[in-house]
Amino acid sequence: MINMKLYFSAGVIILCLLLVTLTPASGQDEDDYEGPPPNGDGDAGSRDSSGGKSKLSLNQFVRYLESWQRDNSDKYRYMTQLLRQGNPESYKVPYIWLYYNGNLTVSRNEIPKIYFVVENPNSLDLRRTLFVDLQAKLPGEREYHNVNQIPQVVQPFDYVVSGERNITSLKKWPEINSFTQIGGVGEVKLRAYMHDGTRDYYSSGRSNTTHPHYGEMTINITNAPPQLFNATLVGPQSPRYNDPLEYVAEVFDPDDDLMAVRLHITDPAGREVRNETQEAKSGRVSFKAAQYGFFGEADAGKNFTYYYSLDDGIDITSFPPRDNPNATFEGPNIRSTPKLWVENLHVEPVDKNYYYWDEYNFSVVMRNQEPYSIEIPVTLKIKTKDKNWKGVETRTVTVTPDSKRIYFSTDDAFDVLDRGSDFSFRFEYQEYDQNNERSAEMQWYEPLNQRLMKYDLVSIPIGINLLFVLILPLLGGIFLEKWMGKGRLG
Amino acid sequence: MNMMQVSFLAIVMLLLLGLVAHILNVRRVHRRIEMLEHKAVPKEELLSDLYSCQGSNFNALALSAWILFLTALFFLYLLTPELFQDRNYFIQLPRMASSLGGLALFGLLGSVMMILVVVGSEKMPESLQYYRLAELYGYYSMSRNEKRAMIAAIPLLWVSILISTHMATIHPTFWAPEWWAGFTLLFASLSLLIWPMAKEMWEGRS
Repeated sequence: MINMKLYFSAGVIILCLLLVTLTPASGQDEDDYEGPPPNGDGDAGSRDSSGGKSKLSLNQFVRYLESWQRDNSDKYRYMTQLLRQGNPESYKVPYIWLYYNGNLTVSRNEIPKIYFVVENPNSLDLRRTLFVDLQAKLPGEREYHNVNQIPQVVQPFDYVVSGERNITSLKKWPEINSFTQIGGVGEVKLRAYMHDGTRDYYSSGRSNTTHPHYGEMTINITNAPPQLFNATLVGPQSPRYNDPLEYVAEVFDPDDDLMAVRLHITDPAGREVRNETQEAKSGRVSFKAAQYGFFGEADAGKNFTYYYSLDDGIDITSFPPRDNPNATFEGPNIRSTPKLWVENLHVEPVDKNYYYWDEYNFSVVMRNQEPYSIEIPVTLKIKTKDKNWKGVETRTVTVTPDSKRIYFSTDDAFDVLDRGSDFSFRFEYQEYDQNNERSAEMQWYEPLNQRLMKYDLVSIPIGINLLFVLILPLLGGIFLEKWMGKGRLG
Repeated sequence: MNMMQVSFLAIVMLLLLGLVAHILNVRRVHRRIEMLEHKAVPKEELLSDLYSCQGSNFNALALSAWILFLTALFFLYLLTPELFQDRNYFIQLPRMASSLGGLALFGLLGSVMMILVVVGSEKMPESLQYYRLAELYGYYSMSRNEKRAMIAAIPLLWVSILISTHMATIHPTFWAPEWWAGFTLLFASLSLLIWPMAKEMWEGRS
């Protein structure tokens, strides 16, 4: 019916043009004639023999149009506008809806199936090309913003007739492939924005919609927080500060967001001492200590821990979780810078029989790896089956850059309980040696002698002892008798 | 139970034998006196009447012999770890034992303990005065020869102590005959010391 009206209007306009063209022949003023003069050629037109009317040939009409365009451009433009668009007052507003037939709570990583539908009540010749955007309003925001970058285009011929309605098929924005492009989480309002170069239209203007058609659609978008696995510190067990160390972890974001992976290095008290950030997609991340200069010489001898925090733009998640501030990954325990070189532990008993009462010369070769002398306390300790690293002697020794054997001569290392026992000895010092240890020990290969007493029976000490042992009871008896007088007669 | 433990048990049994003989002797005399008197005789009175001094020299030597006995017992069984692995002198008091005067201190320990026993036994009440070690031999009649024989326990115990000391100086070497010699001397000495009680019990049995 609408098309019929359009055709009728066009026909009336053309008929009017013909009447205007024929007016001179019917007595109109010559000045009103604005078309080209008849040139009498065959195709210009022919007069009707009955009323002097002539038919307007196509060639004539073209020449009319050309001359109007040339001579009266304003009216010609108006006429063409009328021909192309009809009467602006007669243009009807197209309608647009969002179409969504899914769950209204969705994860950001889900593939959105949001479509739109346009109903355009205008006839084909009046329809305009429409440009459609998807717009979102995030929680707390007051304005909508475009989600897609390129508007979807609806051409005048993109409609199908459904009953008396011209509607498009379901259309979507092809570059929107996840809800992450909406750019937020929570309750997000969506609408379609449409414009035809002249006017703007919003789907949100339509309130009487029913599922799955929406004027303004509210969906709850949720975020899946990023995850981290297999955090490891690759490097030596007890590294030096300049050893190659690499913090490696696997990160994964279910929404496939770009993540800010931050490595936090903390001291044993849990205080953060350094942090570095890398942007990464799901996969392996690596922080090389040397590349970032995590550790320096001043860190030698210190123990560090670390943790990660992952930021996907919405959530920040820590690994291990920071609910407990002490929950961290261990390492590295940086070795102290060694100062000492310790070697050749030795023990030399005065008597090769290894009696427990003998004097033993425990010795060790030490030198300072730095070009100066230091004075450090060194402690000799002994381990036997009866003693677990009993301290024997502590002495402050001077360690020079030149190797020097340091002796601990003592007859107090062992006692009678150690006889027959294997033994080890250890030197403890307050600086680190070449093995990053602060002690050096040795298991001696000779057990101690089983002998109980130092002296032979025929010896002065035993003689004196025995004399005492044998005489003392006699003296005791005499003393008791003198004191108590039990044997006196009368 | 090894032989050393048996030997130790034998010494303990011999000591008990002496003690039992002494008790039985006193009771028997008490009973017979009461039978002769046909009346109850207070024990304190009887014991006072029975007691006769054996002489200061003998008494001093007898006490010395008992002190020496305990010292010799300590030396034989507690100086080296043969019998008591974890309860010997060197394990219990290692610092003292391995010191220069370790042996003398060990001897002192044995002597003091026996002196304390003697002094402690003096605290017995009058009715039990026959348990007083210093008065032990006052209830028995002993000839001069018997006294001499009994005092011979002292040199025997000296030799036993010398043997024990020698064994400690050669430890871990252990020569069993030597040890048994030391034990025999100790046992013989104890036998001499309890001889008067045993003899009295034997002779007065009828």
